[in-house]
Amino acid sequence: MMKSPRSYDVEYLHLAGRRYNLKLIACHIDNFGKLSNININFNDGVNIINKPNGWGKSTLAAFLKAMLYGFDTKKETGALDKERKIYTPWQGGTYGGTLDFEVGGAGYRVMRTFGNTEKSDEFHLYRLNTMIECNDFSPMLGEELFELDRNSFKRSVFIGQLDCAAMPTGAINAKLGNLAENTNDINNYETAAADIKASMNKLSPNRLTGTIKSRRNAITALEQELKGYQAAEESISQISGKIKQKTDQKKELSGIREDYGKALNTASQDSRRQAQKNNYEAICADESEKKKQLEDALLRLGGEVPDMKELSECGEWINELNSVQAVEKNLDFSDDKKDKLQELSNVFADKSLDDASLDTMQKKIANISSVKNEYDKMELKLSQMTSLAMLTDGENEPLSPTKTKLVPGGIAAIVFGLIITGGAAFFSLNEKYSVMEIALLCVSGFGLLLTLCGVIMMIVGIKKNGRNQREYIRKLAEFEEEQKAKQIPIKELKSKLEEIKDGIDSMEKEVDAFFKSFLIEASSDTYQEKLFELKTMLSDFNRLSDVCYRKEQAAKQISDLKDKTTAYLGKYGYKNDDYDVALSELKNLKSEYEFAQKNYETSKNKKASFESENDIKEILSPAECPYTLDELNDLIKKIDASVDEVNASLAQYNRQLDDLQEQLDVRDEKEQEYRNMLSLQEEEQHKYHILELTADMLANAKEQFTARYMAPISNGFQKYFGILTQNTDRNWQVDANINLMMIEEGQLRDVRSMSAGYQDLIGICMRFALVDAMYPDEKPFLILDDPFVNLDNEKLARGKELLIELEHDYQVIYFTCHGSREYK
Amino acid sequence: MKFIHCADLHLDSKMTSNLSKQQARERKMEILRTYSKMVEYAKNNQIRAIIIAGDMFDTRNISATARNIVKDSIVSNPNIDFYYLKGNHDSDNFLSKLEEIPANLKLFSNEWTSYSYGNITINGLEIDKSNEATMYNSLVLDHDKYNIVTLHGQLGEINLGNLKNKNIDYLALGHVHEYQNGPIDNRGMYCYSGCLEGRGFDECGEKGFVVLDVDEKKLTASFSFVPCANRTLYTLDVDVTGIMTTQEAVARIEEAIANTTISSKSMVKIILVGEVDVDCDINTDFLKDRFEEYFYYEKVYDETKLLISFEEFEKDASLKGEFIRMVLTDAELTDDEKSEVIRCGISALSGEEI
Repeated sequence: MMKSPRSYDVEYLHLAGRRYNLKLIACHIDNFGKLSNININFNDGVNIINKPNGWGKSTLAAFLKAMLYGFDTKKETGALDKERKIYTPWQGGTYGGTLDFEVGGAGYRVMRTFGNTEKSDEFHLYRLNTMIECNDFSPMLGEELFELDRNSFKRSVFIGQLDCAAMPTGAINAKLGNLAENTNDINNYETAAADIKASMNKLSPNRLTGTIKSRRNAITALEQELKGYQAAEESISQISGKIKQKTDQKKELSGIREDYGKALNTASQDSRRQAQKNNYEAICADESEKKKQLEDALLRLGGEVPDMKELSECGEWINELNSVQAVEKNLDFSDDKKDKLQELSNVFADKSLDDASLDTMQKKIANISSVKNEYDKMELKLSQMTSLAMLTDGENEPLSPTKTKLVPGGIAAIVFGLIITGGAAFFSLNEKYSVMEIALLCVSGFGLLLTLCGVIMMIVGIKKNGRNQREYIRKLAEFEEEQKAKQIPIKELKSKLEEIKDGIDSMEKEVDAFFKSFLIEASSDTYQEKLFELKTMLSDFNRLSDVCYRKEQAAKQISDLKDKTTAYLGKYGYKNDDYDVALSELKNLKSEYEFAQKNYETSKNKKASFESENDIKEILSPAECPYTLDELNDLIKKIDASVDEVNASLAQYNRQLDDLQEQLDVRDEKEQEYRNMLSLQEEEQHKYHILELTADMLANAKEQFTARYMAPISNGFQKYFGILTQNTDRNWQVDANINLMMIEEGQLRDVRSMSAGYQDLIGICMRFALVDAMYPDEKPFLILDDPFVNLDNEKLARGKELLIELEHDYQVIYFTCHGSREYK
Repeated sequence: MKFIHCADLHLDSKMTSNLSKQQARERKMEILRTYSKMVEYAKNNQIRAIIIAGDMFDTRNISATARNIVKDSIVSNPNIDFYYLKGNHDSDNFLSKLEEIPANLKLFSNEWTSYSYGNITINGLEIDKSNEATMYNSLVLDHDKYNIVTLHGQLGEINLGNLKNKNIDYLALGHVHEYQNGPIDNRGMYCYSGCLEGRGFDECGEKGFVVLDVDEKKLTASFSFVPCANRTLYTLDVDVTGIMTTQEAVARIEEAIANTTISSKSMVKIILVGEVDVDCDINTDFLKDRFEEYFYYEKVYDETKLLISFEEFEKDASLKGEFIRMVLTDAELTDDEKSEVIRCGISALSGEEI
């Protein structure tokens, strides 16, 4: 439900004849900050609103500004938030209201509602007489009316308590500034100018402490320092030249060194070839020498080299000769022995007798002896046998065989049995089936059994008797055979004895004949003795014959061997009999020959091997290098020394170059530093230039700004101060900084030397003077927020007078919270 | 047959700009590590030769570490030939300290030097004052071969027009630290491989080397860029138009970072761009501190322009308004100067640090 708007009665002081180009007629606040649904009617002149603090005077002022200017899109410097947000209705509802005003005699109603952003804001302007919307003014209504922007408007039309309060020294000056720029403008000019000046001084290209100046010095010093490095650059160039020179020299020396190296190689090859040549020549010389030695050795051998086999054979001959000679020498064959041989030769002449014959004879003789012994033994045996045969006749004749009693016993049993059986049978026939009959039958059975036993006994007895009879006949035959056998050996023995006797005789005859053939008389008793004698003779004969034979053989062998050896050694010029020496010499010569031959072969092979392994033609070719190795080594040593010197120089130059390059690296760093400094210098110079421009521009702006307001302010001040003090004698002057100065006795006097009460008055006068100056044409309404709160009664009265004066030009909305300060 | 074309390694670079001493030391080692990584790539990908088109080292006096790493990489990879063309940063220091030039280290001089692999030739010349005028006419290449030519210098100083119709198939260039390529004539292409690691914010983006794959029979080739940098430098433009406070700038930067894939090991230059109000407060020192933990290294530049118009201040009856109107109407000032003067003046009037 819409509440009916509250209306405030505004005390109106009519000042007839006054006209305002712009005057407020009424306003209706739908909702704006804490203010809601409020209607205020404005009259010409001073509209007094007596409200306690906190009622919303600033909000009302902001509402009026918003109606004229709308809201700014950006936050006001120093404010907590954008105005749009600050004055958002506390209780919600339509944000905005209407303001009726009159300008140039025409009445208008501006209606604005505000949304969250400027886009949602609404602006309508109506002509009051017709209430038809018009376009006489744009939404920038305020600017079009006052030729001032919203902030300037706000700063000038609202005069608060503090603006007129008694302030400490210098406050008036500040208040003047605040009028023009509420926070940071003209009164900050000096600070700003000082800051800019300080910054310029800090940078100053002229002051010693200025960074541009000091950097310029540093840059100059750095330039000088960098110039110094030019020398290093030149030195590097020179040293590089020297390095190049030395490098070329080194290259040249290296080339020479290389040539010498090649020559050294050639010389080395020459040397090697010479060494090989020498070697080859030595090998050839050695071969010739060895050939000569071989030829000499062959010559010493008479042109023919003995065969090893022959030499060996010859050696064997000589050894055999020596051996045979020794044997022949050792064979004893004296004359006695010759005679003895002759003698024995007669015995054994034309007879062949050898050990086998003698052994045969020996056996025969032994056989004779043995046979004789046998004969004796057999003879003894015969006599014994004869005696024994006579003693043993009849002793072993067998006895007649004995007859067994079984046969008669059997017969008896049979008979007895038959009797019993017959008797019993007989008696049993009379006895039928009686015990007796049974007993008789039993007896008859017994008789039959007995008969049977008698039969068996008789059969066994007959058989036994037959067997005994046959045994007797056999033993008797054996006995008779044995008797016959005992008689046969005796006869045989006798016969044999006779044969042996004949044999012995025959053998003895043979033995006798044997001995007689060797002219030896022997009997059977001396056979052994004679046979030994014959054996001895035969042994002597054989031994002597053998010695004789061997002696003859040795002599022959010696002769043969000597002939052969002499003939063989004679081939090599040895004529004497000293075969061993000759052979030894010959062997030595052969060895020498063979040694020489081996040496020659070795030498020849060595030469052949050398020739196959080496290019003899190349070896024998003349030397290519004109220098010797030693000469070349000396030359190389000299070149190396030169290279070392050049290397040392190069190392030295390189060190210098390193140092210089290091300096140039430092120079590069310095150059970078120089460039950085130049860049910084340029930057700061630019900054200085900007500061300079800023300082000038700011000074000019301030001058122009103040110049624009200086005279009007001064005049306005004079007017208002005159009204307040009724004193128009004093001259006041406002300087370019809008500093108010009092001219007293031709001297400018600072208002700060005046009393506090005066200063307050001066402050109020200055504010009005400034407003006058700022709104030379269209005068705005003024909102005074209890500006005389601090004035004493006397001055308050003058303040009120001042308001009366203001009424001529301004519509004033005067807030106060105390009746004493009400305008009456 | 495959080749690596790289250049501007700048090993042993001091890396002192921007970075702290500790970071500079780390980066110095990282550049060496990236070089080793490239050699490892060559080893694992049957690369026949690595062409270093100048500026292998950054200073004349090379550290023992750098020298040994390079030397060992050459000696321990006998199957890979290293073609080392000296650039304007290179001196003889590396070579003169080698007791013996490894067989697989191929060098160039101030006269054209040519090496070949069958029908593929690698030709190079170290440009100096003595040969800069004659180098074009003295280059003679076989029409029937695939000819790689390597040089170190800026196009312009190297006259591409004079290299036309010289039978060049691939011109391996060094000196420009960014990968780029283009045609020489109907036959050949020129290519800057760029550097292996970016060292400053003028070397942003991916860095690496080029792999050139030549068909030995057809004598045709293809080449591709292989990124291998350990860290990448980025410039991140953050539009802060309309903000009034540093906190709002923080939010915009956070948003911009969230919308990129820049890794935390990167080095980032954040540039605030756009238009802001004269009263806008942007404290770049605060922002640098605020985002210090986000990247290996970062810095913040304010390159915003003032959102300002004469009309806005036309009716401002204040010293600021007067000042701004005066600056804006000054015909002698450039737009940038106007912007700077206004910003400076406003800061001064606001009592802020100028």
